[in-house]
Amino acid sequence: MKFLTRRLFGLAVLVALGVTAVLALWVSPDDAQQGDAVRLLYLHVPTAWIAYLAFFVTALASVLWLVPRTRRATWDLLAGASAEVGVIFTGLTLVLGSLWGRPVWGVWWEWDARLTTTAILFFLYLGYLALRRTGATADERGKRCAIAALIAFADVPIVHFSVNWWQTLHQTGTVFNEEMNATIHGSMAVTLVFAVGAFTLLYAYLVQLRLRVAELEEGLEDRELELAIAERVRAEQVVPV
Amino acid sequence: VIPHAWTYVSVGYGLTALVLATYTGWMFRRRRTSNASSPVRRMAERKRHRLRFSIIALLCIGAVVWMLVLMQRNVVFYKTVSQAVADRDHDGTRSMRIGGAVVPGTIHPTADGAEFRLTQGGVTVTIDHHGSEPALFQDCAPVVADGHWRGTTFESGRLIIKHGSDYEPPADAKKRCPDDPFSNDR
Repeated sequence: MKFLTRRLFGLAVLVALGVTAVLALWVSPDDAQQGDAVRLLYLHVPTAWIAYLAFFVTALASVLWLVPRTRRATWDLLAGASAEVGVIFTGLTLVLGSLWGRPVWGVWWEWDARLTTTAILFFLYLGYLALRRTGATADERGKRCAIAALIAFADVPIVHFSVNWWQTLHQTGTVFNEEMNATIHGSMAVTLVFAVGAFTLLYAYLVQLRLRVAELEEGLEDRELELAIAERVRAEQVVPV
Repeated sequence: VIPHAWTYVSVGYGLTALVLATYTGWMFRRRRTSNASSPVRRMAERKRHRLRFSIIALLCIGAVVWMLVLMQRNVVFYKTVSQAVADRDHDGTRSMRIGGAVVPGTIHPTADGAEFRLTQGGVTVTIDHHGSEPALFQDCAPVVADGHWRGTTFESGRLIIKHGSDYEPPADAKKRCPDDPFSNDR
């Protein structure tokens, strides 16, 4: 993407997030039970959604890398970039959930199924990111990471359905619940949908940014390898005969 | 009414903005430099980093295992009042959690807490709570009490609000007192 296009994209994301903040903090009403604490909903739900989306993209890119016919170095880099954004948003989901839980539930944290499986998701992909920095050759590392990404992705549906499968402290889904009957009032629903849209844009922006950096870093690494070889060769040549 | 609701909201929004501003490099830009002077040394540095990241990966696996162990005890985070009463003889006085809706007009303050009735699925029990109450503890509130049985009374040391997934402004809200506050959750 060209420099100007990237700048305009960034500006669009910033405006979308600004509108989200105005809708969430001023326009939308408070809740009958929770009062103003409900406003954390408009961050907690979008960040959780982005975490799901990011790890899905990582899994998809990993499959594309594993299949020989579609294998391209970019898929591996995309998997890494998306996982990194996913980890940031999983972390935000956990912290925002805690900040919401304290005033409403009366507790910062409980080891219930939804909270624990989400924390597990965070550490699975943190481990994945660490794994990406180990290994000798690009092929070896790519294969190891792609398989790890697919195994870790198994936790995403577990996180999502945990509130239906087990009796948890965390509430069930508001929009995508078992009855597929959204239980959220009009302008609150509009705010939530807008926030999810804005965060999806933000996700796309962050991933393309991170992908570009990863491509540059890889180029740098290749170039440094060349330089290192040249330096070694030079060092051996100056040895006096 | 929840005290300091806006404080939690502000911290949440501020923190999110800070994390994103840092991650995009908009704020706190940091130039990454390597101490190693030559490319050969930089390659060696990378190799050392690989070992460090292997250790981090292993620590993450350890954290996952530890959390799975913690979760095992909490897969069923609470029993509903009807389930808990059915299992009362079996559970004895072991530590557990019980969930239901507070019966309106039954909250009576005691010396070190409150006594109230909790209902779910047509079954009602008395809860003797010792300790503080969360902000949203009131008539009809969906409550999970942490404690144990003593005879037919449940002794609670901690109350948690398990709110539903319905959101609506005060003007639209009908005053409801559901017989089964967790009906969505089976």
